[in-house]
Amino acid sequence: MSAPAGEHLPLELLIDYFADDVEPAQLDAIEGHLFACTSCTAEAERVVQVVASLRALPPVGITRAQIAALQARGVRVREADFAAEVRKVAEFTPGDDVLIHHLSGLDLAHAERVHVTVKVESSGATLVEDHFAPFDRERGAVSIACQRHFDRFPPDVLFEVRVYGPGREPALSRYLVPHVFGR
Amino acid sequence: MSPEAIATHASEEEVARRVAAGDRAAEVELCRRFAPRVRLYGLRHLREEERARDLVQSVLLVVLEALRAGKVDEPEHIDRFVLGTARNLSMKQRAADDRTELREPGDLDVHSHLPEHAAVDAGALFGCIEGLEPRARTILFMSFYRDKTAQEIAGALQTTAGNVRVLRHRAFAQLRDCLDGHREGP
Repeated sequence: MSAPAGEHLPLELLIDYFADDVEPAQLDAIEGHLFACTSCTAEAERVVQVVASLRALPPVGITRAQIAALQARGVRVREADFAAEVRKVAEFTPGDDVLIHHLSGLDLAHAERVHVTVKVESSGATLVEDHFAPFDRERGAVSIACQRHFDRFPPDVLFEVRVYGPGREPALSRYLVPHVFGR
Repeated sequence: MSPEAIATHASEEEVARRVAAGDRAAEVELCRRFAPRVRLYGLRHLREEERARDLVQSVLLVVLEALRAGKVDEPEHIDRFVLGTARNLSMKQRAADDRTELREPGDLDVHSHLPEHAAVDAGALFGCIEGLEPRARTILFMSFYRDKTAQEIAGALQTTAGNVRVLRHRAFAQLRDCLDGHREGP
């Protein structure tokens, strides 16, 4: 998709631009237009605000480095280990900003990709998926960042972890983690 | 011509020529016009607000110095000169992967020409994300958080890259409209 000569850039093209999903030739044309068009600069600013908001969210799947960065920013983080198929409550206390659930006991030695699905156990509804979740190969764990704002979602949370490796069907592990949000 | 008249009526070429002639008010006007554009470029290529703002400062200093020194051959294409400068400096910044390329700011106050970094209320953001279809949430997340291409996302979701783009456009517009509604609320 490109803007006809003399016209403004369509929203769709601006979204693709900030998603880093345009061809090099398009990139030159878009940037040339943006530097010459005040109206498109204003529209791009609106797109950037949404992108920045999405990127500012703590991720669902989180790395050790990202946990350390949260703590360095003063975010109050509490960590706990969870085993597959063992129901274990995660309780948000007033002193917690983020809970880190380490979904442990995974065979990640040959993992190429880990797919995490966050579901409502009772309804089976999918809340969010991360098809490229970071994982800790040595510890055999995937870490999930749970934020207080998740109290909007039903509390009976089920994490499904699929580990993709070479030449085999994905291995599925289920973690049953009911959440309690204390005030 | 007063600074107000410059802001209202002058073309960018005129502003550039006035900077070259030593007009300080025109320098302010040039910064006002180009600072937001360079910042957007910086956010796209450097990803971080702080680095984008640093880029604005560096680029505008180079541009002003070039104009003052009569080194801009085509003031009628000052936008291209600013874009080229942004490309060069952002490439250097990425190569160095730090901010050692920062130039002395002198008396250039670019920050007053940039929009305030508007933090979106996290609760509102979650509420709006909650309103998206799960597949739409996933595509936005993989696009803007995991930085996956439409092709990579299509592979994971077993669909086409074209379909991923269409769903991304719809989801993004829905999210933006929802967030706009929260900003305009009481």
